[in-house]
Amino acid sequence: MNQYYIGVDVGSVSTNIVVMDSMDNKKLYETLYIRTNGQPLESLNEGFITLKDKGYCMEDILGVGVTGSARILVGNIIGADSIKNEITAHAVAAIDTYPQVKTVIEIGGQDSKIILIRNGVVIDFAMNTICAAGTGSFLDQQSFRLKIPIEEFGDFALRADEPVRIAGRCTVFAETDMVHKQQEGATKEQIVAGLCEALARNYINNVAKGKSIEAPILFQGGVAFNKGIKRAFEQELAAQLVIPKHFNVMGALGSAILAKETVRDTKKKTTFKGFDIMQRKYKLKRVACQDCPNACELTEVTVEGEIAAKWGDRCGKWQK
Amino acid sequence: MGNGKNKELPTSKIIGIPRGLSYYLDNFSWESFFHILGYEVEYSEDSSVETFETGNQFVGSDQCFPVKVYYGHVLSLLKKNNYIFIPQYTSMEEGTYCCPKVIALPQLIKNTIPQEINLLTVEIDLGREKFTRKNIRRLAMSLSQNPLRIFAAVNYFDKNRKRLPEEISSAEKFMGECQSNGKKGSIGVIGHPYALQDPFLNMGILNRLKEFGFDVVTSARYQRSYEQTDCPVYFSRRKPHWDFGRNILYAAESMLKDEKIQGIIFITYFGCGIDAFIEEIFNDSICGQKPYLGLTLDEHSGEAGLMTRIEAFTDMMIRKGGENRDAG
Repeated sequence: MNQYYIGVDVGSVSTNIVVMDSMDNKKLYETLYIRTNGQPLESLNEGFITLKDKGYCMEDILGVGVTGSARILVGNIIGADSIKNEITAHAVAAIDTYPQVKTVIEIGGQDSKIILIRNGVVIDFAMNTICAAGTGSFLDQQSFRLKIPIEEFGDFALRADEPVRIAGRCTVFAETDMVHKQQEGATKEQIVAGLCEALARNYINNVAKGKSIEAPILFQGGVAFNKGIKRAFEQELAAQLVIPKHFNVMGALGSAILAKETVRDTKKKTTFKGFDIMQRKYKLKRVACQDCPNACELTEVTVEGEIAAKWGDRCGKWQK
Repeated sequence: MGNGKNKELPTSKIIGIPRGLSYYLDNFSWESFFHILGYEVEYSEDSSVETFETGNQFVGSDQCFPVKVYYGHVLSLLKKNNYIFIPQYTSMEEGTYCCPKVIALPQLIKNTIPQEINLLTVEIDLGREKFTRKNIRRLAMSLSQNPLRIFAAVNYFDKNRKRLPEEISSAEKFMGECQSNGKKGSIGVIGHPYALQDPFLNMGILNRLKEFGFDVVTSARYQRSYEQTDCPVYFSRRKPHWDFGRNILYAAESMLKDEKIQGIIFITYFGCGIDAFIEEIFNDSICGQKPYLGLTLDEHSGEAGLMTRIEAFTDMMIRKGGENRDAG
């Protein structure tokens, strides 16, 4: 009988779930990629229902790991064994699938990161700072504006003979540029290709500023699907990018591996509360703590009238 | 020494000192100074969201977060008492200057808070000894008519003034002694003194790092600059113009050379002009040699983004240290 570890990555744009074989990290039984649409709990519920329908049952799950921007919320609700940040999760997955990796480029919905790895250990990383230019959300928005399905974005870029130059520093200026170039007669293909180049340039100048990008380079995150961006990066870096098989669920894979490590190290049974947990009645509330002048905004989760978790305080007294 | 009960002085016997910015720049005890002149000192309370929000109503939007919080400190003191002391530090040693906002602080406050303030201030330029001494004497004379007290106060300043540039340090301030129980290693934290010492301003980063099991060594433990005899190093560049710019560069360089320090975090605030220059200088040298994390904080800083970065940073060091994992 098979046993599994589950990894969940609840991000701003997509919610990803993987079901990993308990013995073999490379063997993934399920990889789900669900749009979050601003509702992390609903999308996770959708994923769990799918898994349940496929016949997975709680007894076969040895551990669950959560990552992503909603990790604390989701982790507390489902009883995750490991709640880890995205950078660690992505790095762990990258090292596991491709041990020689030296650089990881990860572009997700609202953030982009670079992770430098030497000898299987993370030595440096950086995330985009205050600007989301060059992330998946922006591409999404532009694909909608240009009426090109996001899935075909890459093909459009590859078809262009000569890309037009678009400012990638800021999404607002990029959009101005795109409109302007369109009015001057540039084709959709050229604009899309220009956009891909702008994003790659922006990433290299901003996120990867001052970092030495050495091959092998892994390109992961939802944006890795876009062949136009891949090509733009390869031209800019003069190196080949490797796109791992499960590029779009690497965060989830990493958190599954982290859950496995945690369960193995603590030698405890999983704290996972089961697939049905998401169907119970959850109430999320933002409450202000009045105990001191900091007036922290707490998130309070009530399950069927009972307070299940509370966090968000500076002093930490509600988290225990 | 005066005991604060001297009756010959008519006005309020209490002077308020806001705890922000310049308060953290020195180790000079203004409290003792005012005591000699027969005054009590009242400090503002710890910074909190409330402090920030009160201050924010009067500050121009282009000021940095620490200045906004400083306004709050002034306003909270004004509720009880309108004698406020704001020293004007222009320079900590010859040829360097403080941040323009710190230099302008007394005037800035006086002209933007629409409330009557009895502002006590004194310009301190430690590169110009006579000038500073004259200013101190003038301040003392405005507070007391007793020549003995004035003499004693000026004398006190003369004797302890040296502490200003040299001993900006450790033990008596918030950070406390560097603990030796950090099993996971040491992290160097660089920033301006107020960023290191006010846990509200730094969003509790120092405590978080300790909770994760790391020793924290801050730039406050390093001198403000290379000693005169040393040839200026500063990453092989010209000496920076700012007092604490020098301290930051010096600390960064020392931490880089110190094998015990495994990673470096730089705390800065959105819109800080000094740090914008300084970070560029050491950024390139640190990258590739030691794990480095630059944190730009602002009033809007969400906990989530901050925690993700700190967690990833500490994870990186834990996993690097071979202690391969950490239960989440």
